Amino acid sequence: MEFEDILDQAGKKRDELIATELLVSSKATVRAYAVALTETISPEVREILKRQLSQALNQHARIADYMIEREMYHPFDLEKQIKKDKKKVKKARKIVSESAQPKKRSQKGKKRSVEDEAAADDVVPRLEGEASMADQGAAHESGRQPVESGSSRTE
Amino acid sequence: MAKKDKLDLDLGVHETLELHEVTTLRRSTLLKAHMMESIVEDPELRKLLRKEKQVSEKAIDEIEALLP
Repeated sequence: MEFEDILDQAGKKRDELIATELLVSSKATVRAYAVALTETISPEVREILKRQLSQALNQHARIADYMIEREMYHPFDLEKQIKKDKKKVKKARKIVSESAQPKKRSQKGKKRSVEDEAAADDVVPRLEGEASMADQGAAHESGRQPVESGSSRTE
Repeated sequence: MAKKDKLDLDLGVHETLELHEVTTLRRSTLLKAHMMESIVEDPELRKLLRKEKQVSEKAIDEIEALLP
């Protein structure tokens, strides 16, 4: 659900993301076919792969054309493309940190609260112990001679 | 079926593995295209996704027929 919310926020950028994904996939597909073709022995398989490679190349061309047309991709303006890519990396980082943080925070928060509680538990008995010791000390002090109470404090 | 079996005999080990590789990649592309089709806004891009789905499905079927 979180991911969908982010996609909705992205609005028009979502289509660009989809187109980029398609473009990257089509590149990978073309490479896979090229590699597969170099391992082919059977002429039948070779023919099929060649045909499919050609289809994959056409598909890549269609997507690249679409992206250039919509100014999602600037193959002739390297500076612009790099600037855009950097922006996207930044944005991706932001999205990831924003969607990951709440979970982490809640977990950390839980952990922290548990730790705090544990710490508090630790602290309270200590305080109580100290208080009781102090009380005892006070009792000692009140009941016994001051010298003994002083020695008990140093312990 | 007979044709299929005959083609199977002709397949080399490395060839088979590469065909598997291709089908795996195309399958993931097909599923991605399918998922993205439901969230895409631009109709032209949707057309590209549909095309990708069609081509992928056909390609997977063709290669699957070659594999044992």
